[in-house]
Amino acid sequence: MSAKILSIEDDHFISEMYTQALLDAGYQVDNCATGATATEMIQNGDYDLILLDIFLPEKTGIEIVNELRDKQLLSDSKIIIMTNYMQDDISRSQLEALVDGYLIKANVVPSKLVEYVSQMLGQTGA
Amino acid sequence: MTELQKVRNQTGYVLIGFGVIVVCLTFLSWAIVNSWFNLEGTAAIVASIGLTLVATTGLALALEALIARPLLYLSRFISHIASDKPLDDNAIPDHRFGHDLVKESIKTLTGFVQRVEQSTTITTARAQVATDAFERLNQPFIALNNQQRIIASNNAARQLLGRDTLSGELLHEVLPITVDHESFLSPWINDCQETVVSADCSWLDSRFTNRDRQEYVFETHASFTRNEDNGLETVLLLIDVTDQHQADELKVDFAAMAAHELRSPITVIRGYLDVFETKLRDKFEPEEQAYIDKLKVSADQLNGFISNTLNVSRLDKGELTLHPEAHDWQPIVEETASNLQLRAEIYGKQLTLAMPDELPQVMVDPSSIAEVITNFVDNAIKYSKTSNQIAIEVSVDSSGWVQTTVTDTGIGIPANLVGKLFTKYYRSHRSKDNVGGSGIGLYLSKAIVDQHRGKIWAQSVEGQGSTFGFSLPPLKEAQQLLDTSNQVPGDRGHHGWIKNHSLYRR
Repeated sequence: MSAKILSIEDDHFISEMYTQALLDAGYQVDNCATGATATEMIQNGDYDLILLDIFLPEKTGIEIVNELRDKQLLSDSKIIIMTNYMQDDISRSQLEALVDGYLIKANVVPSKLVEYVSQMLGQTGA
Repeated sequence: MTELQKVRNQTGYVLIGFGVIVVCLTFLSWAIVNSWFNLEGTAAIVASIGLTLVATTGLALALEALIARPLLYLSRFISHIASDKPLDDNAIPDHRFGHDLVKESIKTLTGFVQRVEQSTTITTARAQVATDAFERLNQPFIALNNQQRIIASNNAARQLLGRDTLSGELLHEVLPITVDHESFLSPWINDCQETVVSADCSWLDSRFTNRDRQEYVFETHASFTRNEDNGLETVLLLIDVTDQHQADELKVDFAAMAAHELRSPITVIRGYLDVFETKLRDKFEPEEQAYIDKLKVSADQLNGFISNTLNVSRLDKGELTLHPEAHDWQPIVEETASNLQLRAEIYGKQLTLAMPDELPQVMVDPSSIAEVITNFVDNAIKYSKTSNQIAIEVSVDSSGWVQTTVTDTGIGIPANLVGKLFTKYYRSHRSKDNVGGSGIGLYLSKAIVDQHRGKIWAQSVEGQGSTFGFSLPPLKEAQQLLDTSNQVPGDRGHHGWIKNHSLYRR
């Protein structure tokens, strides 16, 4: 059974591009565009990996991470932060301590993302 | 013998002398009475005593007029001066005995005192003008003695430091002003005290946060003239340039904001070019593939420029912090060279890589150090118009440091300009006319190599080409050189943290 991934991204073009690449690689992919929906979907779905943008409507990615960790909703889900914004060093370090990876979207083309995801999950989607 | 004892002795001699004179006068009177007036017995004694009294009184009056009275007038005159009363002509008495010397002396003294008074009045007036001027100066002014204690300050300085008075305060306690987060004034003054008689210095970007946590940026100008006494030694003038700096920082912030905004579209452009290539690679005609390649290279260059801009913005704000970790050097160089291969090909260059089979591990922040190689190769592409060869070479020098160089055989750089290449916004003489460039790539590269505690350099012969290189300390030495407190915590292994350099990119 292929791994299940949730892509939380409010930029439609970017979301579509990554989602399609992951689907093509054989993963099951859900996506959402707002922070509030994201929390609800994570609670109801059993995701192996969450790709999380930081600046989202309604709730930021950092707030989502803190909420999930506080409520212990993540179980074995891994989280990769996907952002194009740089954090200052302190908030970046704090964030990195809570997640499993941190990617700058502009540097990660879809094929590279598939490579990273496969590496992180220890399996390919197919 | 003290002066008082001397005076006592001299007074004793005078009294003895006066007594001798009186005795002599008594004998003289006795002789006169006997010989001239033929008086004897009681009459002779009375007559001689009377004569002696008359002579003594005359002598005393003469002494009083010649010595005691001038001294009295001098005493009165001095009292006039001491009492700070205005001098008038009556202070100089009309002497019955015409003591010209005393009179002239008092006149001379009077003139002198009047001149001193005038001079003091002028000096006081000048000091008041200077004090008023400093008080009216709207920039902080502070004067220090050789203990670095404040001996004078103006209103702007007191307002800045939030105090009614600053006199006697130690400079470093009341004015913790810094350059690059380090105090500089006291060390400079200490250095001056040890090495020079006088010196001037200016710091154009010094920072101070006041009691209300308001941050100021000052140009600090200091002038030192050694003074062994407790008087004026150092003067400080602080010129508030906070507004100008805020404007500059806004420009930097704007550049960063604009670069951030560019990242979303460039993500999509690079992403769909990647999709194109993945899905349609076999369907492209060679010509169409060439178009895609050019698009890819251009998008990568734009992405690199955006990254450089953001990193320079962070560097200028003191926020560019890298996190070197132990890595094998070969795969990083190979991947970087591989990523640059297409770029070189598009511009008609042949990019070669030469590396020994074995290399020591290095402490690097992979994505950042890869940017240095990318910047070097980009430069080589731009400045090797007549040449097609660009060589990346890796070697280990005699100290065990891992050295990476990028060499072109292009137009080269004049020797006198090589030293300027790593300064911000510097663009080579050749690039001003015919090659584009922002002048931030090498500036950023130097900052990145510095943060790795490495060395960066450029060698060039005009007309023959250039070599840009950097060397990194081997692992053990690097670990000693680097502040391990700045490392990323090493507890992510069990999270399955992806060890791919793009993940660490800031």
